[in-house]
Amino acid sequence: MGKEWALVLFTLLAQMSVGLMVVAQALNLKQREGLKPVLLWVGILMAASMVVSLGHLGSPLGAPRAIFNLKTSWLSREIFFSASFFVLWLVNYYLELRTQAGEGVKAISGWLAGFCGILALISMANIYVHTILPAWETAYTHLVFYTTALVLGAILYAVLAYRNRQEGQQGMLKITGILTVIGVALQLLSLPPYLASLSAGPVAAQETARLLLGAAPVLIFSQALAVLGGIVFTFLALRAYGEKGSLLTGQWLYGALALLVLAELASRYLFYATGVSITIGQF
Amino acid sequence: MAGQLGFHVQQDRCIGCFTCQIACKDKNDLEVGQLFRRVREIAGGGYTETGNNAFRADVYAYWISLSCNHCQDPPCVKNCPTGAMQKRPEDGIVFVDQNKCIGCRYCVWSCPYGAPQYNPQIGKVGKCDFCRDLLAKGEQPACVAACPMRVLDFGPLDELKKKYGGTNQIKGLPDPNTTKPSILITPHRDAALGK
Ligand code: SF4
Ligand code: SF4
Repeated sequence: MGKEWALVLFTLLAQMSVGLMVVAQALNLKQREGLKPVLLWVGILMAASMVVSLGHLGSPLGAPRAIFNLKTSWLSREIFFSASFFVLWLVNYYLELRTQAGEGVKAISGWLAGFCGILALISMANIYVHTILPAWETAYTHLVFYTTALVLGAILYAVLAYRNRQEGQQGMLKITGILTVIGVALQLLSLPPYLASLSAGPVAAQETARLLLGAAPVLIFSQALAVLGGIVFTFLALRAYGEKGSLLTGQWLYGALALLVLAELASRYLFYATGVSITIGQF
Repeated sequence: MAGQLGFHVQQDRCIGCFTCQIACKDKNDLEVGQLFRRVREIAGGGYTETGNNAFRADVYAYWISLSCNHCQDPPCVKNCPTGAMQKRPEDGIVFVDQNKCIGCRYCVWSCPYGAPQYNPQIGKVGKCDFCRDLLAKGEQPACVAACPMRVLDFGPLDELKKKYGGTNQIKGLPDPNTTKPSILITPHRDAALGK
C-alpha cells in the first residue's frame, strides 16, 4: 500500500499510549502514588498520535466527520474510542493530580480510560481485518497490534517508573520484564504461520509473502532487535538491579526501550509496505 | 422504484477499443491515473509440446470492461466512516458525496474491484455514480452510449437478467459472494468458469 508513514506512527503511538495506561493501572492496584509521573506520558503519546493521524487524511479539516458511521464502520469506532480514551485520560489525570478524590474514584476513572483504550485498539485491528488485503485481513493483525501495545507499554512503564522511584523496584522490573518477553515471544511465534499461510494463499497473498521475503533484512533486523531489547536487555536490567548497579539498570532499560521502539517501527513499516491489493492490475 | 440498477457486459463482443474508458474519463474530467471505468486485458495459456517438434497452442486473451458494480452488499459503504459513500435506496446506485468525504481511503482498501479512485488534487475519493445526472435527464450513462460494439448495456438488474442471462463471475474477477456485484457478463469463451 506504499509508504503510509502517518499510519505507521499513529498506530504505534496510540498502541504505546494505551499499553502504558493499562500496564500502569494493573501495576498500581494497591497504591496510586507511582502513577503520576507515568500518566503524563499516556496523554502526550495519545495527543501526538491523533495529530499524526491527520497526516493520512486527504481532507484533514473534515476529521470530526469520521465518527458519523459508528453503526457499521470500524474506522468510525476507532476514532470514537481513541477520542474517548483521551478525554477519559484527561479526567483521570485531573483527579489524580489536583483533587482529594478517594482512591476508589481515581482507580475507576483510570480503568475506564484503559478500557476505552482497549476498545480503540480492538477497533483499530478490525479496520485492517475488514479490508480485502491479504496482508491485513488475518488474525495476525489482532495479535501484532495487541502485543505491540503490551511490549511498548510495559517497557515504557519500566523506564518511567524506574526513573521516578529509586527504591524497591525489583518486583516492578520483574513483572514488566515478563510482560515484554511474553509480547515479543508471541510476535516471534506468530510470524512463521503468518508467512506460511500467505505463501499458500491466493495470488495477492503470495505477492505479500514475496515482498516480505524480499524485505528479509528488515524483517530479520526487526525481530533481532526485539529479541535483543525485549529479552536480553530487560534481563540485564533486572540482573544489574539485583547486583545494586542501579546506574546500569537505568541504562539497560533505556537501551531496551530504544531497541523495542525501533523493532516495532520496522515491523509496522513492513505491515503497511506489504499490503497488496487482490485487484491485480487494478482489476 | 426501478429496482437495483446494473450493467451488462457482452464480453464476447468486446474488441478492447477503450472507447468506454475514454468516454467515462471525459465525462468525469479525470486526471491521469484515475479511471472510473477501465478496460483490461486478461491473457494466459501457453504452448505444449505434443511430440515430433509439434506444439499445441492454448493461449487465450480477452478484454473486460469494468466500473463500480454498485454492489448489493457494498463493503465500501459499510466501512466509510463519514457516510460519504452511500447506496441510493431507490435504484441501488453507490456514490460518494464529496462534501462529506475526508479522503481516508478506507473505501479503496475495501473494494475488491478497485473502483474508488483517490484524487490527490482535492484530497477526496471519486467513483462511478452511474452518471446519475444523465440518468435523471433520461439519457444513458456515458460509457454505454459510447461503446461502438454495443457491448455495454444498463438497466434494472432483473430486466437485464431476463434479456441476456449472464453471470457475475468470470475468470480473473474476485469472488462475487462477498459484495454481490450488480453486473451481468455474457462471457468470452475463454473467460467462462469451468472452461
Ligand atoms: S464495486 Fe467496489 S466501490 Fe462499487 S459498490 Fe462494489 S465494493 Fe463499492
Ligand atoms: S475516502 Fe471518503 S468515501 Fe472513501 S471511506 Fe474515506 S470518507 Fe468514505
